[in-house]
Amino acid sequence: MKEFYRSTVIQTQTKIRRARVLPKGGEIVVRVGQEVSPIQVVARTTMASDFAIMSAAEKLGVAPAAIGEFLRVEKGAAVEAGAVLASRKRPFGERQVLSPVDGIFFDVVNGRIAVQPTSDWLELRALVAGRVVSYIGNQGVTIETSGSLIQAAWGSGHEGVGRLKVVASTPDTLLTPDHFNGDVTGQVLAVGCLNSVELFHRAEDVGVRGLIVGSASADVCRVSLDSPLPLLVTDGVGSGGMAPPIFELLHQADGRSVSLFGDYKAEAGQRPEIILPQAAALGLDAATVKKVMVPGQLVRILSAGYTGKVGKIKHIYNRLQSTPVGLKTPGVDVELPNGEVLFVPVANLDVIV
Amino acid sequence: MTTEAPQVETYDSFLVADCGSTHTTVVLFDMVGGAYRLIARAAVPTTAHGPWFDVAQGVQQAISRISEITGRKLLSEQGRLIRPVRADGSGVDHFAAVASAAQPLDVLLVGLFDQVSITSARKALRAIYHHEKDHLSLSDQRPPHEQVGAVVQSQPDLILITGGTDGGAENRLLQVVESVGLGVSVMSDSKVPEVIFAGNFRLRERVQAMLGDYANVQMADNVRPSLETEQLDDAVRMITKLYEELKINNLSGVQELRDWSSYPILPTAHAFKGICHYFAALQKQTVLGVDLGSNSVSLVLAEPEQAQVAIHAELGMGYPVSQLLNKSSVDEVRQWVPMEVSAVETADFIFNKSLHPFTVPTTEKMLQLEQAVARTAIRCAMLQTGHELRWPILGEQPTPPPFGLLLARGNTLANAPRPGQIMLMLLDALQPTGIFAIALDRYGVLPALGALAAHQPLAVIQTLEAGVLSDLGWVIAPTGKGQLGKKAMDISIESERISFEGEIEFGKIEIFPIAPGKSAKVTVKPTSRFDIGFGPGQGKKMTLTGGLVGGLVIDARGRPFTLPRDVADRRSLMRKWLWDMGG
Repeated sequence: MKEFYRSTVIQTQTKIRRARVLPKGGEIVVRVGQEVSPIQVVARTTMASDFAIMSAAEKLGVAPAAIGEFLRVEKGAAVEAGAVLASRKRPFGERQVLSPVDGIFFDVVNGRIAVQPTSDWLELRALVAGRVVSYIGNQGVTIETSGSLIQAAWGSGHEGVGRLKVVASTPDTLLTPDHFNGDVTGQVLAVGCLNSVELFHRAEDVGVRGLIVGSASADVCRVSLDSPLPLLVTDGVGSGGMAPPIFELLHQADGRSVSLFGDYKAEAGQRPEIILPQAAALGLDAATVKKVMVPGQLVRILSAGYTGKVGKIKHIYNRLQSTPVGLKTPGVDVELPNGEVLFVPVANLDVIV
Repeated sequence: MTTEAPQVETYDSFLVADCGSTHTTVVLFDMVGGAYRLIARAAVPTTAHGPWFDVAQGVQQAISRISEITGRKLLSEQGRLIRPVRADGSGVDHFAAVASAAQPLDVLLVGLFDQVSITSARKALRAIYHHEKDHLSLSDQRPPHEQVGAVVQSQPDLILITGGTDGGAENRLLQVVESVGLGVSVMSDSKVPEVIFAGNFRLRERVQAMLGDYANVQMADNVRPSLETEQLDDAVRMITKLYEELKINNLSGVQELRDWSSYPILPTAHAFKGICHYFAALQKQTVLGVDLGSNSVSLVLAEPEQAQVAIHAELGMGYPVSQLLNKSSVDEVRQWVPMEVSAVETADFIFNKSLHPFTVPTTEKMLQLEQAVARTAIRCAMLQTGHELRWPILGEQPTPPPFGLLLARGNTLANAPRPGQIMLMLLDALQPTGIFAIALDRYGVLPALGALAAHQPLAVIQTLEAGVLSDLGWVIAPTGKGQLGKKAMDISIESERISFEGEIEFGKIEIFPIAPGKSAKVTVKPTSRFDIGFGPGQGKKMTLTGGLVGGLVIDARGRPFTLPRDVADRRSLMRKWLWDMGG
């Protein structure tokens, strides 16, 4: 049976290129070939969302179309708080429109002046240690690094970087208050399961830089959306824990720097990623996805009761098979590490690359 | 003397691809024994997004699968479609495609009053897959600089500006448009949005002057030329065109499909609307269409003269399913599960379904949870559509207008192991009324037929006649309330299989078998508290043809029906209904 399949990349010693892009055009502050650290700013732009807007025409008592002749600064000019932006002499004094903030005289639209505060810079950091290999217009750069790459299942939409601290001894260890004993401030904690909103808030309070969990409850996922603390779930929602290959890889990288790429567009098929850079010779290119499922492939099971279990494809059926609920579906037999063999619909498989 | 060569009648073959957000289905239609038939169908994962980013790969794979099934070579060695049919029988004459795999259009709505122009704008937008990112109107309490920020942050593909009756007030709308102008002037660094102005026509030039430097501005007829009048057609036409240009045509890999295609690539929901309209015109009755997709739920109401589609891209059984809990609640989903399931399990299931939308249930509990989610998603779409289109109100909630045929599609429905489960999902979710038949698009071919309907009506009608739809059966569902266990109606049925005369109690679902394809004479006489569509207490004699489930379902649960508050009673009742329906 030839079948495109869903896959999850879990790789070591891989060459990784990632784009870092501003939401709008701005200024690139690094050069191609430059080595960057994770917290280094690579590009910046002004925050466009918080203008100071003044009804200048109304204040001066002129028609919106006539405001041009009363302007005292040009578009794009830097202005300080209190600076006169427009004025009109009257028989009994002068009417003035003053800038309420330090900023840039942005535009005049229909008699209203907009000043963009200069203090609001959006700075884009590299997030991962590596080398700048190209510019992406005036919006960002591509950074190349080498190390390990793990595609996660879900992310809270936030990014982060820190030192990895695996606080679990097994892939299904549940995060408990005890795990916050010792120095966790500034670290990215990795654990099997997280199903307590209270503990998520505790992680925020003690200054944890990020959380990598195998599974988290739906409550925790929902709460994390409103928190700046990045949460990356590697396997799924619930209490299934972490797939052993991911857990082992994280364990090997304990104490190293880890970058959490949690800002992604799920609708576009993107996945959150965990990158563990390793200062070594550049590795192999990331594995390409094969198109054909073959026996021996490592797979993660997504079916209820076996969620997150990892095994190997033992047999691929050429005909549709019946599931216990009466569905007819293409499927394979998967052998688990304990020797158990079970039928899994292809739709419920995730091939580990 | 000249001899005319004998006329050889030729028939074209068709290959149609439906590129959904999780699955791509390709179907082959050709002439067999003098009539068009569905020859083969193949479904594979959609490859529009990562890691493939090429929608054509999935289509090619599905076509290869059809070649394996039929033995007919359809692709060249280079993977290109062989067109037209060659002398050796390889290839196909025409290719067509429909798509719902493209991302929704991000829209910023601008108008004056939420209950007038914004409401009309939302109705127009239901014609496409879209996400409303934000809206600006007079009820917006945000100061101007925050409104500007809202424009920038929403990063819309389209800004739809409505508001003002033709010749009516101008200044208030222009004030809102000013904020839009500032916002798009900032955005134009990175993105030039499209603007459709469908408001007071006297403001067209000023809107063009205010926004034209920073956005592509188009003018549509005012959606509310007067307070009493609503005209959406022009706005809908322009919005649809924009969606096709910005989203479908930019789908990665779509160019290859366009090169193969004999016709424009349609949004799937529009093709589905087309086939619903086709049925409505053919059968001269109202048709309700329900498409429970992975990334959207679409409802179609088709009359013989016109059809309307309402696409809900914020609902669906795939990625958007996690947002279902913004519109509904865990308990509303759980209420449909006939077994013990905790709130945590339910919420976890919903989130996981969002992460892995292609998964199929392998345990009875997962199956029931999935079907509960399906009920909730369809019901949310129905209630929203009902409010927007002002459908009849029963109790305090909208209900679909009376119709004669319900056409249902979507993987969750089509993959349900037993037909009774499908019917029950639809009856629970829509709570429709009257006398109607239900047909299921089990093979996922209706959009393909909808894409062909305008160009190849013969192929469509003959394929449908060959039975590509599953007739699930007939339903009689009265409105009204009564006492549990008391008579709701008298019924008599005469068929080959059954001769029955008796009462139906309020609160029950009863099934009367009619052999598939066989007819039965049915007489129904509701009590004065109940109405099957002809007035309270008015009866009806009819001849019905049997479907898969068992012929005729009498749903005497009343409308709208309420489930018992006691959890054990509710589960017990749900199990009974499921049992009664053979599910």
